[in-house]
Amino acid sequence: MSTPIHLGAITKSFNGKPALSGIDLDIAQGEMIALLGASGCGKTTLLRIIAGLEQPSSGQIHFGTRDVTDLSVQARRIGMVFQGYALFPNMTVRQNIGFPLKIAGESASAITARVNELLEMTGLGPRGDHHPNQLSGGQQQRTALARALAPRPDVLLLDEPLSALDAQVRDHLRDEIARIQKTVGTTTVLVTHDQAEAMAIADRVVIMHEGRVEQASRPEALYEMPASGYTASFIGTRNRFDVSPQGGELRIGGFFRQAAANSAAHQVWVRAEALRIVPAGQGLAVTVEAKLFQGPITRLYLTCHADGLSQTLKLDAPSEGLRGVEPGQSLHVTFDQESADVFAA
Amino acid sequence: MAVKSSVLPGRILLAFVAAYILLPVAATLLYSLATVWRSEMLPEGYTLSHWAKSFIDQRFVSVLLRTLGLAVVVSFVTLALLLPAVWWQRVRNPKIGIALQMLAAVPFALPTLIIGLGLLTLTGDYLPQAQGTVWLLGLGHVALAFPFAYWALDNAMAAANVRALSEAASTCGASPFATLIRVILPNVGPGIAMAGIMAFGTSFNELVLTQLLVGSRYETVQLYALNMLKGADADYNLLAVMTVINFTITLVLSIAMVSLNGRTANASLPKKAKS
Repeated sequence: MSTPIHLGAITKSFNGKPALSGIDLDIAQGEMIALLGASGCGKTTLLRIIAGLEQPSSGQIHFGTRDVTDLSVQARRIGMVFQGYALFPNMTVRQNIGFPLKIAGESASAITARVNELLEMTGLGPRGDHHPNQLSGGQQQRTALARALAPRPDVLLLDEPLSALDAQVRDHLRDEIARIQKTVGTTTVLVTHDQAEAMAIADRVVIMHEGRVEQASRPEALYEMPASGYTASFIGTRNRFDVSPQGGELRIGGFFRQAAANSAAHQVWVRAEALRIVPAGQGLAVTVEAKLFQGPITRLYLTCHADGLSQTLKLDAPSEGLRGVEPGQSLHVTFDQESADVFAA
Repeated sequence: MAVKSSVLPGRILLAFVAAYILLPVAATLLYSLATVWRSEMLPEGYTLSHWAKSFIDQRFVSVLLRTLGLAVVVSFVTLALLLPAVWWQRVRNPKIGIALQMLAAVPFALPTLIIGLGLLTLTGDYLPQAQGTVWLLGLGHVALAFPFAYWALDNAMAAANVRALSEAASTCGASPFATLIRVILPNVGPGIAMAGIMAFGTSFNELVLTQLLVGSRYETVQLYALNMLKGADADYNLLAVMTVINFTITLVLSIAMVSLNGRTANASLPKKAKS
């Protein structure tokens, strides 16, 4: 039975060093959220606290109306997929999937029926009698997912489940996880450091930074309206301009003017795809340093030494429009005022 | 041809090393089967009478059974002490690993003689009734076997990633006991067997501690061989029989360890690579 999760003022310290500082988060029933952040931001620690594999230093965890803060892992009714899958090597795929049901004391016929259902759902049918070391990474990952789902847990926890897979398999299984999660409707927490993965499958993305929640929003909102410079730097590919106010205004070239919030330096963040090439005499003068073809999109690395700026910029544009552009070429670029996100430092 | 010429020197070297190791053993085996062997290259005749005599010799059989019994008990005690400790270290408290590693270094840092004298001094001060007993000897053998068994178990648990397996089992609802029985033990089985063999071999072949702690009160195979060599009426054919048995047991244990080591290594490798 799926359940909402409430995390209230969760803190965690390791040897006096804070890993989590006052995490408040509500996850709706059946929702899939992604905890996204750089290494060491506390996302895995938070997941392990939800699982019961770590105890918080303070704070409460509720699954629905149940206070599970002091409950053991076994009593929380969770399913978890580990980064390295942690399949039991001595058991076949069937035995791995059936293990939580056997522990729960279910009958042999109920176990067989549920295992068959999950083998079909995950496409592992022909591999049921194989051992984990006879499976590919993708098959192991699906076995781990099936094992986690077998006892119909209240909460499904996924700890970087795709990080050990190659790109092609990862994309396929990412979609599979999203499909299966929607099918079973279990409240799910996914930990990842891959923003594309988080944006693609989560209902909501929680950006974590230095043990705190930086922003929790729907993927589109996170992309369009980052709430802080850190989120802006983490989501998508953005260019950062450090601008000091002049006469109470922030100015870049002749095209960007905005009132400053205070007299300190501001960060102006502009997405790589918001930069566009304009005729000479307009915008910022730049030189093409490198050109990176990425299929439908091409990325230009530009150096800008104009208007008091000295930095590298990234410009993403449809490859067709950049056919004639070559490294060493001089260009002029600009962006729309409304595409910029401005944060006081 | 190039491959053959590069393999040949290795094979010659292997043959030399094998001959160096096996010739004394073969000679001992021949001596145990010889009727008379004095000045000739080979024995003058062959007989099984020394072997038959050995197994009806009460002292010989007692020594053999006593040594085997002690080695088995030492193996079980070592495993019973170390299995939960190493599992706990790997899963719950890695800090105790430092203490375990330091304990494992003691039998190498201190000569066996010093360990024996230490045990005699300690028991003399606090437990005099333990002196001269097989229990004290067993305890000493457990201490000597500790590093070998510890490393075998620790390596097996590290290779099996028991922490991840234990956590996965707990998320499946398994209690620590069910985790140990259903998940951990089956996955570190070869490591447990290897640790047991190491402890068995250490006890079976130990001499210094045995001589110091119990002397002739609990005669083991090694002590029997030493006593016979020192005696004026030594039956060297009988001694040869005992040496061959000793070597055979050690050889069987070594083959078992190599085999188990291979199984442990293979278990962590994927058999097929598919995407």
